[in-house]
Amino acid sequence: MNYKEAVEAKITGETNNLNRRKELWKEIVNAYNEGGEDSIKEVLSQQADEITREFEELIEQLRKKL
Amino acid sequence: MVILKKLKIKGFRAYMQEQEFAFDNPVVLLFGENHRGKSSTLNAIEWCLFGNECIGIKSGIRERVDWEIPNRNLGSRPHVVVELELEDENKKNYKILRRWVSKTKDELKVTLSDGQTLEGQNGEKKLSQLLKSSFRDFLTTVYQHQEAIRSILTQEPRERNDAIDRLLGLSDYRNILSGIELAKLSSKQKDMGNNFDSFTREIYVALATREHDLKDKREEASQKGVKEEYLNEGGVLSIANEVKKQLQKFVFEIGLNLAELQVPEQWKELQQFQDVANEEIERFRSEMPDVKKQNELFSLRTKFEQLKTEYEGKKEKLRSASKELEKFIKDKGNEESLNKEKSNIEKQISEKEKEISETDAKAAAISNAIYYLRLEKVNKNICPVCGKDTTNLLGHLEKEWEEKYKVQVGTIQEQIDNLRASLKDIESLLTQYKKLEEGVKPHEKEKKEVSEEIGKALNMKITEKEDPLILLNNQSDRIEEELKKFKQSVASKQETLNGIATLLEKIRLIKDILNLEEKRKIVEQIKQLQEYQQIERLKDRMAELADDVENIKQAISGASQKEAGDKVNSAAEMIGDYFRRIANNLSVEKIDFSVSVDSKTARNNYEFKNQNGENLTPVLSQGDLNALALSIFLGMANLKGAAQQFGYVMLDDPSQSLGSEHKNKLVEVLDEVLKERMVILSSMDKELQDSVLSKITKAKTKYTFTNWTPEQGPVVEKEE
Repeated sequence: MNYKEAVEAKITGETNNLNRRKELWKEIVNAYNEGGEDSIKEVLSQQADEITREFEELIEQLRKKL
Repeated sequence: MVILKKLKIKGFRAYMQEQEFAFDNPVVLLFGENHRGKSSTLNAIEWCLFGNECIGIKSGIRERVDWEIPNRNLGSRPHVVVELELEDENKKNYKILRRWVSKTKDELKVTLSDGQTLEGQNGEKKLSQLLKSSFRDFLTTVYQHQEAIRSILTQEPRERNDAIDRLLGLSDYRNILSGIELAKLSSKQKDMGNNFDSFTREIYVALATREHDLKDKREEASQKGVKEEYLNEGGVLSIANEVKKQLQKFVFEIGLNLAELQVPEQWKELQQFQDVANEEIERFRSEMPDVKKQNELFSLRTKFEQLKTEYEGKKEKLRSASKELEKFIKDKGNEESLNKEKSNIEKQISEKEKEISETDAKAAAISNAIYYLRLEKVNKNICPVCGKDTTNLLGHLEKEWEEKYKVQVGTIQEQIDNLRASLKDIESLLTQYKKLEEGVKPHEKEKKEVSEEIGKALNMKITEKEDPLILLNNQSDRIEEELKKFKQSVASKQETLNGIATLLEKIRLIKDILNLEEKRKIVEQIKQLQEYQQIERLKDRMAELADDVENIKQAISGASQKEAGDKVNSAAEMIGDYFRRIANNLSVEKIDFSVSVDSKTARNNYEFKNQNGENLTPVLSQGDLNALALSIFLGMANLKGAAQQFGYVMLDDPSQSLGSEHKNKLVEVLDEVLKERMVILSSMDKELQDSVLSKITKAKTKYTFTNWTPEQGPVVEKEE
């Protein structure tokens, strides 16, 4: 069993969560194979930054209403 | 598993000329003194495989921060090439050629067994697939020099654990964990949570502020007479209509025009109406006819006051000068009496002189000459009668006067002298009189000029018999009367304007209240807005992402720990055995090498304990630590089924802290390592060389580095 399978076997969660987490793990592995640690950082940061950006834009809009 | 077949080096670090090495036996020995190029040979292998990864700060090796790849003696355009021939587990051959271009750039060419060549990124990709390891993996599992081995035990715990992870072939787990940590998701989630919490607090604060402001405004409105029923759109617009009506009535009464003033249909559009109305009120305050007239009268009154003050000033100066003249006349007499006295004295002097002349003509002449010569600015040697220049003429005359005439005419002369003194006094008084008389004249003129100015201001001609001050006072009284009348009229009109301004102030207050009510409503309903619900969803999404990543990290940690545990269990016995054999430390009978997971970092944590459960790192000597580090490295290298991709290990001067017996033991251990991997050993240690050559059973190739010159680089001799 290689590391990819070993980790996948240890991911837990209910069906929805489990599938989503396994998908995310695949993305992480692909990123690692393509560009190492920096690529993982890029993939995860991109997801987090998209959420953060939208969150901050909306919260600023709301702040202006205060 | 990849093994080395051949190596060609040209221009790299210690090298000048091309040098070829064949790795045709399981043991390749690089023997020679220091500074002969042995380390450059091992460095050339790693540079060919990993390029710039093994140079500078990112290599993680302090000594390589300023590393130079080209040999300095090659000149400004150095030709630096390293070529490696590799063989994989399927016996396929690869040629890896790396050429130096600049400090930050090199070129890679990979030639496959079928002759196909891959360059640039394709070449790097193929090489990466072939090696399946990073430079760090290579540095810790393949190429170990003493310092690197020792660092496993002496660096920070995290660094040490990292190094051991890599030794155990668990780099992927650790690298992925590092990559995940670089994304700082939990920090981003925390920031988002803080931002959300802060915003929630802002909502409560904003609501409380609005309520507070609204309460204050309502109280202010009530104090200023705004009734509750006016605190709405209809109420504020009706007040605006009242403002317009009152302004129209006002301008009709005073005879001015009103600018266009439109009451809007909605309260939010009232600002322009307020601005125009306020501007008009201010304009009326200054442009009302009564105010203009009042201002003219104020200005006239001020002018009269100034003229009055000026006239009084001139009059006082004239009075003072006249008084001084009068006092002089009273004390000393006027011009006429003084002149009369002067004539009288002059007559007496003339008579006395005649008397002297009648007594003695010469005495009279001498007396007159002495009088003349004693005067200031008169040449004392020139005769006043004939003009002859005689030295000390005055002295002669005075002597003659003393000796011959003083007794004869002295009394008369004394009288003349007294009369002349009196004459001088009279003349001085006359001069003073003239001065005082002249001092009075300008004041008379100035007083007359101010009087004429007053006449102009009063629009009349003032005669000398009239008192300008009384005329001014009379006119000022009339102005005061008029001002009284205007004051009442203007005050009444300003009062009307004040009333309208108060209505405008009420409009402003009601608008403030309506604005605040609207803002409060927005804040009250903010949580129902789509945007708010969306930020809640985004916060949940971020939490979900962080949870997913945390779950994955736990999975990585679990899988890594399991694999590490398996490997540690397999290698622990071998490491302990190697250590006992190399270090020959009698106090260490057994080494317990264990792994656990750090709950904070989710990373593996390794411990080395002796048979008594004591941590070995702080109690072992430097030599023991080196032996232990070598034992771990060789134990892992010799582990059957280990994940290492490389079929060889490179040891650079491994015996520097070991005694003779230990070196022999190390060679025994190396002989065992050779069952799994080939060994490239670099050393200057003659004792170790002899031991290797005599005790290693596998076939050996020996390269002796006999010399090094700047022109040629290393001089290498090969022995089979």
